[in-house]
Amino acid sequence: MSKIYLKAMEDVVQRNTDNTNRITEQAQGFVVSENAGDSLLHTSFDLTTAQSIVKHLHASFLKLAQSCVRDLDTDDKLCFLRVKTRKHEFLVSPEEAFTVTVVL
Amino acid sequence: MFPDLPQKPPRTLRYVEKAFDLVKSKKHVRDVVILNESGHPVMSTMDREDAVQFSGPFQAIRGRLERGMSKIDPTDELLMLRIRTRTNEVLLVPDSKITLLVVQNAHDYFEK
Repeated sequence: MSKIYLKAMEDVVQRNTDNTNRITEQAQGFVVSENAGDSLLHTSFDLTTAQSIVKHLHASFLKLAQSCVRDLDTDDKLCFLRVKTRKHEFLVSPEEAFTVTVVL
Repeated sequence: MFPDLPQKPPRTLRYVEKAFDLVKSKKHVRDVVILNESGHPVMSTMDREDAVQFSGPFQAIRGRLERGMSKIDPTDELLMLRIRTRTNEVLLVPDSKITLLVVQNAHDYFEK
C-alpha cells in the first residue's frame, strides 16, 4: 500500500475510535478487512484469529454468499449476514470498500 | 467400546409436517423449503423446480461455511445462518436430518 493510503486508513481508524470502543464493550471483538485485496485493516483480536476470520469468512464464504444471492435474483444484493454457531455469532456487514465482522 | 454420542431425536414424517406447518403459519414468512439429508426438497411452498433451483446455492453456501468454521474453531457447530438481502431475508437452519430454509420479509430497513 502507498503511504498516502495507509495515512488515510489511520485517519479513519482514529475517527471511529468511539464506535469501535462501543463495539468491544458488548461483543467479543471485531475485524475490519479491505475488499480489494482481502487484507486485514483493523481488529481487536489477536492476529491469528483475525487472519483466520478474514480468510475463511470474508474471502471465501462471503464471496460465495454474494454470488449465490446474485444468481438467484440479479437485482438483489447481499446486505447483511448472521452466522450463529454453538459458541459464537458472527455478524458480517459487507460495505463498498470494507467488510466489518463483529463476533458476539 | 465407543463412547456414547449425544442422541439426536428422530425426525419422523409427522415431525417434519408439523415443523413445516408451524413455520408456514408465522407472520411475514413468504416461503418455506425443507430439504432431506441428500439436499433434495421434500416439502416446499414453491414449485418443485423453483425449490430445487433455490435450495442449490444455499447448500453450497452452507458447505463452504461449515468448512470455514472447522478451520476457525474445530469444536464449533453451525446452528443458524441468516442472509439479509435487499428485498428479503433467508434463514437456513440445519436440523438433525433435515435443513430448513425460510424466506421472509425483513424486519429491518437497509437503505441500499
